[in-house]
Parts: sequence; structure tokens; C-alpha cells
Amino acid sequence: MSRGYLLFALNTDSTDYVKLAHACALSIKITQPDGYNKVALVTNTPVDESAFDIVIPYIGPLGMDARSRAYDYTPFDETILLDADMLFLKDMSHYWSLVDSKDLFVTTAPQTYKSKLITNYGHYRKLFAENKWPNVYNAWTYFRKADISNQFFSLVKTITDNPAEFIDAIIPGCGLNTIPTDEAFALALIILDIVDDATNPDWQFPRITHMKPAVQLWDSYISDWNEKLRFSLDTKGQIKIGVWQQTELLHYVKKELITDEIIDTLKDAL
Amino acid sequence: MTKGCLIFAHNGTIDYGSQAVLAAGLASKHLGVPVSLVSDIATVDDIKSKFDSLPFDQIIIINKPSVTNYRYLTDGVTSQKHLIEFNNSNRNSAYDLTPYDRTLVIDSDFLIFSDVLNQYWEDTNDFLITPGMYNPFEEQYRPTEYILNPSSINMLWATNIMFSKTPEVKLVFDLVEHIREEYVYYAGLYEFSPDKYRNDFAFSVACHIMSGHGTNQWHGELPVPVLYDDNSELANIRSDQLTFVSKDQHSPNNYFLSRCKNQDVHVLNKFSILANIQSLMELV
Repeated sequence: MSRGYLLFALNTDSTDYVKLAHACALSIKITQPDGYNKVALVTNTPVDESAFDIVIPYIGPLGMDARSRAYDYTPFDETILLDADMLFLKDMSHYWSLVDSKDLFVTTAPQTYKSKLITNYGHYRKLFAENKWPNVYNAWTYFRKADISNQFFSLVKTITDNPAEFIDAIIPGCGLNTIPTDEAFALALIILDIVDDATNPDWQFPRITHMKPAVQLWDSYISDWNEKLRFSLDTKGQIKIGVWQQTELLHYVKKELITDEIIDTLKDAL
Repeated sequence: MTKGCLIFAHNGTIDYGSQAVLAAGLASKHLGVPVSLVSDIATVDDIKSKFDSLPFDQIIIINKPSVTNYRYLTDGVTSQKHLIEFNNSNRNSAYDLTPYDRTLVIDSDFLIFSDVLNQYWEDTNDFLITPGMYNPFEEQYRPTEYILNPSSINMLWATNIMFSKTPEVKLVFDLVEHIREEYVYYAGLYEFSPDKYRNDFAFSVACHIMSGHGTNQWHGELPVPVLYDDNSELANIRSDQLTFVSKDQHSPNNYFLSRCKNQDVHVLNKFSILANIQSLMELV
């Protein structure tokens, strides 16, 4: 039985997603024990980095909805699908055994950088709130090779590839032209009637420290959290946001944070 | 194991010594533990001249701190502001100075009217501190959770600290001393004003560091007491209750009357305490 993490990195003119995925993969190698640290990268860019155990060429539509192809591309029997702009900061290998009774599991436990659970839908999720959708974050999605996972990702693919039909039928007038991946995940879970099987708000894990500014419970809105808070990485690959030590999966959002210097520091930490 | 209360008081523009006598009398009455005073010769001479007897178990004489802080304090509903001097930058020396194994440190403007704090003498935490203050008139605007800065840490109040003498607790007090010495650096790091040294901030930073920079809370928590800020003043004093009149800071023409019964109270308006010291001493 193989298991591993799956990352998609499709570079755009503005963002080097391969570099973000590289940082993520390095953080996995630093923090996860053998047997729980395999990383597969799906990309359309030539990659020569040893942090990736498997590099899979991507052929298909570009953009965020590439993650809808996760089931098709994964080389593993058990997979955790991640966003590229995330960093591991502690051993999370025990999560595999916590979810292995399930075929599919999507986290619903975002938190602030001060470790406060974000218990409401929040500023960015008005569509979720209005429709009472499950508050899923595809940034950490576990699935195994199973019929229900296959059905789920096939449906996500259908939704993201045919947004107009689903918007007209389910959320007319919502103002969207495309259906983002989190929204597509929520819709697919509802349509397949597997919300209770694939989510568990009571579990409160795995926690994702979500750095979108408007969920930080601040008095005023700023567009870039890094204007307000320092980002510091030490020689062991550990991170502080401001004066707060981070230990959970860090979804740093701000892509520009990952510089060559950060990559070198993570390599040295490894 | 010996246990007792410790109060620091150094007179300046405010008669902290008399406040300490009152606070000690109330602590001794309601908690039933000995209370010791840490003070300087001039302050002790002053209170000896003002009171027939002093409620202290021990008086520990030290030099008055060389660093003097100033701040403006409002005198109740009159909104009259006074520049006052306060000398409390030596709170970190409580660990070395206390004569007790388990010590409750209180501010001299913290008036004890209940035995609630007695629940904590046997607490398994070696170090407990007040996590907030309940301001009855600010609740809708600012809850008990005070912060050093919106993006920084929550503020703890050094108004009440209970500790046992252990190597780990010694580390905290040493850390507070270090933060005091490097106050400008820590003010920059934790994003608060370096203008005035505040024990509250130094202990808040020390506890944050002791928590692994926010990963696991290290300190225990004492109960959140009622806070009457300096826009409030004592209006009436009875054996079991204090009545305050307070000005609404968000609607200046509004005033509130409130009664506080069998509650420990942090009274920031020192002028009001001192103006009523004789009546308050009768409660002791």
C-alpha cells in the first residue's frame, strides 16, 4: 500500500508554483518520518529537484481546477492532496491513521496564526454561508483509491469544467464565472450526499493556519498580512508569524514569501 | 509551606503607602493570610506616622527604584487630569524578596472583598496571573481580552500574580528583569509603546516566551476581577459594598452608578481611594 502527498504546480506569468511546491516538499522531508514523506508533483514545467519523489507531467487545462484531476494523476493508493503554498512544521504522520477508515476526507479546521479556530464561514465564504455548504478546505484532502473517491473527483472535474451549467442550476446570480475548487468540493459532497462521511467539523484537524488577512480577527482590513506581521524562518525550518511560533500546517497565501533564500534555508535544514 | 501576600509601595506624587495599608488590611481580613510590604524607608516612615498600627507581617525595606514612570491619570468624573509618578519597575524582585513559599502579589490599588483567591493556594500551577479585567462599562466596546497590539499578544495583568518558588518560576522573574532591561527591543518586537515601562507588558511577554512563543499556554490563570478605571470614583462605601459613579467614555453626558458587592476590585482612580481612605479603613 503506497501513500504520499500530491502537489500540483502549474506556473503562471506571475507565480512560480513549482518553487512553492518545492518549499512545501522540503518542509515535508524535514518534518515527516520515513514512510510518510513521499511527495509527487504534477507539473507542466521541467523540474530537477530531489525533494520530489515522483514528477508527473501534466497535460490538461491550466489553473486552480487542475486539482480536480488529483484522482487521475496520483501515483499513490492513499493520497493527501495539498495546496502548493503550504509548509509543514511538525510531524503529522499520525493523521494518516486517523483518516484511513475513510475513502475521502476534507478538512474543515482553519485557524488563525494565533491558533484560534475559525468557526464561522468568514469574510471570503459568503456563498458557503448563504447556502450552508460544508466549510471544506481542499488544501488538505485525503483520498484512497475507491469508487466513491473516483466519483467525487469526476464530479468535481465536471463542475469545474462546466461552471456555467452548475452556476445557472444551483447558484444563479452569484456573480461567479468559474467555480473555485473549494466551492466545487462542497457542491460535489452535497450532490453525492457524502458530507457527513467526508467531513467532521468536530474533529478540528488537521488544522490549517490560514493567512488570508480578513480571517485573522483584526480590527481593520489589510490586503497583505505581511505588512503587519513578520515572517521568519529559522535554520531548522521552523516559522514564526510575528511573535507567534507556528506549528500547524501553514497556508501562507502570500506567494512572494518563497524566495531562493527561503528554499536554501529549507535545504540546509534538511 | 508558608503562604502570604506581598505588596509593593513607593510613595511619589501618590501616597502608595497608605493605599498599601488599606490593601493589606483587606487582604488580611478576607483571605486570612499574612501580608508583607516591600517599600523604601521614606514611604515606611510616612505610613508609620499616619496609622496607629500597620497590618503587615513583615516590612521589607529596599531602595526606591531609580526608574520613575509618569502618566496622566483622570480623577473620576471631573475629567481632571493629573500627571502622576509611579515607581513599580521592581516587581520582578518579588521572587527574591518574598518571605513566603507561595506568594500572592497584588497591586496596592487592588482591594480584596472576597475569599475567591484562596482557591488558588493549592493550585497545581506554580505561576498564575490575571488574564484580563472586567470593565463593566466597556464590555460592549472592549471585552476582558486586552491586547498589546491587534497583531501581537494578549495582555496579562501583573495586578495579581501567585507563584511558588521553583526554578522554572525563577526563570520567569529573571526573564521579566531581562525584558525590563531590553524594553525598547521587546516593545519593537511585540509592537507596544516603549514610552513607559509596564509590568503588565513585561510579564505578558515573559509568559508568551515561556509558552513556546504561543504554542502551549504555560501560566495558570487567576480570576478576572472587576476594574473601575480612572473615569470612575467612589460615591458610597458600606460594610459590604462599594458604589461607584462612572462617566461613559463613549457618550460623555452619560453617567453610571454601580454597586460592587463581595467582589475584588481593581480601582485605578487612586485619588478616589485616598480621598476616602478613612472610610475604607473602617472596612478593615
